[in-house]
Amino acid sequence: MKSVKRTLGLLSKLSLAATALLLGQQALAAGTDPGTDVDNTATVSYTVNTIPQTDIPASVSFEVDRRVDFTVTRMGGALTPIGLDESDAFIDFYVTNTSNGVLDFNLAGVQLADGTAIYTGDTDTTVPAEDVVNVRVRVSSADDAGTPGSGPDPLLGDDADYIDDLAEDESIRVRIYVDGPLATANGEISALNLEVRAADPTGTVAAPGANLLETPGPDDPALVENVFADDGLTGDNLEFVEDGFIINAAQLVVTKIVTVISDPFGSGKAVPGAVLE
Amino acid sequence: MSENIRVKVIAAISALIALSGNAYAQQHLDVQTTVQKQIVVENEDGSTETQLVPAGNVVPGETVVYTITFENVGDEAADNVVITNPISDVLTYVPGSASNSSMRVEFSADGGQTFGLASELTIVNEGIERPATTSDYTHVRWVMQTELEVGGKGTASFAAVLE
Repeated sequence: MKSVKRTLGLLSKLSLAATALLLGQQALAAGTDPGTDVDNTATVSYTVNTIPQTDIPASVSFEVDRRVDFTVTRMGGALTPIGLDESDAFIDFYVTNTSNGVLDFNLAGVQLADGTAIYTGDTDTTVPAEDVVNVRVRVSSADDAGTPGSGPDPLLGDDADYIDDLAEDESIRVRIYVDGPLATANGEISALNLEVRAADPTGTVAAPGANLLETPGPDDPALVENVFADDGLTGDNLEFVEDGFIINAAQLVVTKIVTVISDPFGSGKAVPGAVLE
Repeated sequence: MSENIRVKVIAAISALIALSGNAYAQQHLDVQTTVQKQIVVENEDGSTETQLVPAGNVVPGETVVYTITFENVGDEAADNVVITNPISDVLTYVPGSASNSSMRVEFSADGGQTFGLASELTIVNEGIERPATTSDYTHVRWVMQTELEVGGKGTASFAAVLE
């Protein structure tokens, strides 16, 4: 369920400590483009003494604003194993633009703190010195063709940290590359978030757009304004999803074996005076 | 008087006639229309209520309400008052929202060429006739069943979802 944060002075006037929820909160993909003028003209016809009079028109219009909404989805089904000396291990995601217009997106791979619960019910068990290192975010060279997550693998040579011009209802793959930690125990979990924020669609990879802000103050019917519909009630232009790596460290197993060579009593046991190997 | 001047004079007279026609019409009925947006407000106790606010930040999925108000400001009663309102291509009519106790409500699904009651409206699609759905509606109109007396007022409204 999606909803939009609304803080209206009207509500306080009505003594309703409330949050206004927009009708039509269903996740509505695509839709009428921002900036579209929706004009309406009602016409009244009538007669006076059976004589038809000139129709009277009455017009009103509004402009469609930008509904900022998007999702981020992890593609893996389990924690991804990584060795201590392994390079360029990765976890995969895709980002879907469910707003009503083209958007850019700023991306970040963010390490989670020790003790943070992640998607499987597992918990990050690494302190910073034990986290995976060299975190890099890459974006697929092409949008997904119809099926989310179906686009080309994001490669290390692809664009980093920024999705340029993702059309409404379209998805694109994103990959986080990492290297193994320098030292940590086997079985430890190093988790990350892929954080996604919608950005000004006039930006480019070379000159990324700024993160969009919800348009403050009274509505201006003549402007295309941003209305955040992401992330439930908070509407903070931030969506993220967790994923993680499980550390495969080398395990040195030491087993002590003692054999009785001889003993004073011929018991074959490790009694005082026995010779052991 | 040259031909050129004669044409201009005729045009000016025509414009005056058109203006006077509007002015005459305006003497009978005053018509206004507004658009608002429906929101649902959640109260502290968890209950909800619907409110109308100015149609400012309107985004797909939201519901807008058009209201047409009219008043006979002339000195004679008006008959056969009909209010016709097209429904934009990017809007879908909300069923039942145009109901009016004093006017018959009709719809068109063919761009305003023909009108009928919602229960009677059909469309022909690829040679097959079927009942029209609200997403087929292109126009809504209200037909006043009585004369609008001098000083009489009326209101018609409908709601639609922005696609």
